[in-house]
Amino acid sequence: MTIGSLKSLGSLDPKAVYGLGQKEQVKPGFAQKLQQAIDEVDSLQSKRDAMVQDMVAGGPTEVHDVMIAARESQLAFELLLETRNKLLESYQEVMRMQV
Amino acid sequence: MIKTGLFDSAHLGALKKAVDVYARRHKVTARNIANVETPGYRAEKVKFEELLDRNRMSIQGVVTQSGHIPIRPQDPMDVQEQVVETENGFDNGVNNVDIDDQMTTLATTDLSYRMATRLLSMRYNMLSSAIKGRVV
Amino acid sequence: MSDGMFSAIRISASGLRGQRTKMDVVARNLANAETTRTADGTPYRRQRAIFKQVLGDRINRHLQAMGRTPADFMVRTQPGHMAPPPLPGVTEPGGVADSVEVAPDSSEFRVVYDPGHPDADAEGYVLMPNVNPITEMVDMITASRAYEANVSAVQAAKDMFNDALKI
Repeated sequence: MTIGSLKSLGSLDPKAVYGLGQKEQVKPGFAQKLQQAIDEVDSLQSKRDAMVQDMVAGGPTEVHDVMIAARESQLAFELLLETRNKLLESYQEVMRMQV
Repeated sequence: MIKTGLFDSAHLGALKKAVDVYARRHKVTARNIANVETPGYRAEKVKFEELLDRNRMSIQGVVTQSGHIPIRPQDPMDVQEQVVETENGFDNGVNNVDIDDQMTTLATTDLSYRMATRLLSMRYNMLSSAIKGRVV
Repeated sequence: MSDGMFSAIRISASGLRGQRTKMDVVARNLANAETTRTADGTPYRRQRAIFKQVLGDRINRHLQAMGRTPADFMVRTQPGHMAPPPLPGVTEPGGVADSVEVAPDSSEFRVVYDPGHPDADAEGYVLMPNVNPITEMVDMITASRAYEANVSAVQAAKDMFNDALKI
């Protein structure tokens, strides 16, 4: 081991080593993503409702358009639900950890 | 058709477009059949498959200089189908509607629609399975 | 009519009505092929089912070719006025079936020599209806075939609707 390599050790940031700084950055970004996903599900469901209305009222929307919109909004919702479940699981697991 | 962003991956988008086209084609065919004896009526058809360039659909563009944009493969969703008059020179005594040809188109369109909707359904089922982590 | 959940079926329904009218006319002609004296004393006059291309359809097509719609030509006197509905065409209400006109055939009555006939004139000639059974049969077959084709279209539309439900 030479003197030179000791110097390079000094440039290590303890925060970076333990990932503390990163966690602070991740949290707001993730919350944003979650909100985005909720908004998307909401928008897909509104779109689907609008299409159903239009079709039933005699507009140009075709039955397959409605079914596709229904299926996709359902899937987006399922994704959101599963994500929420996984988050909950992770949270519970973390809480269970012995410090 | 409505583009929903999240669900417009290559295969899903093409299937959704196909379903649209087949539905339109059925209506045009039904109209031709309903007007088989209407004087002055001109038979129509939906042009779509001919507008697709199979060569362009799967190419990967190679960029020779930085700043150049690679050629994007042709996305079926961007191709607009056209309702055009059939140039068939047929005469059924009243107009140019060829009822046998229309019956054929009716049958093939029906089957194509069934296939496309079935494939869509399968794709959505797969996505659902992937989301839930088990077979749906 | 080209819009809505069952637009495809309505198109075929219009065709069904038109062919049905034609078949009714043929049936009436055949039933009266030998009627030498109707209520007004004259022989039965053949009727024809005439499919007219509705004026609205021609206008719609011309507009389409020009890339315009009827709404472009509407004078808006106040903002918020609604655009006019599309003009009736061959597949709109007022389409094929409603534009099937039943009109008398103006061709001459047949003159047949039959002195024993109650309606024979002084020289023994009878005026017979201008109905040719062969022509009527051909019309019946054509109408029947066209009717069946429209039925197939309805069936296909139903199948497709059900397929969509399974997406």
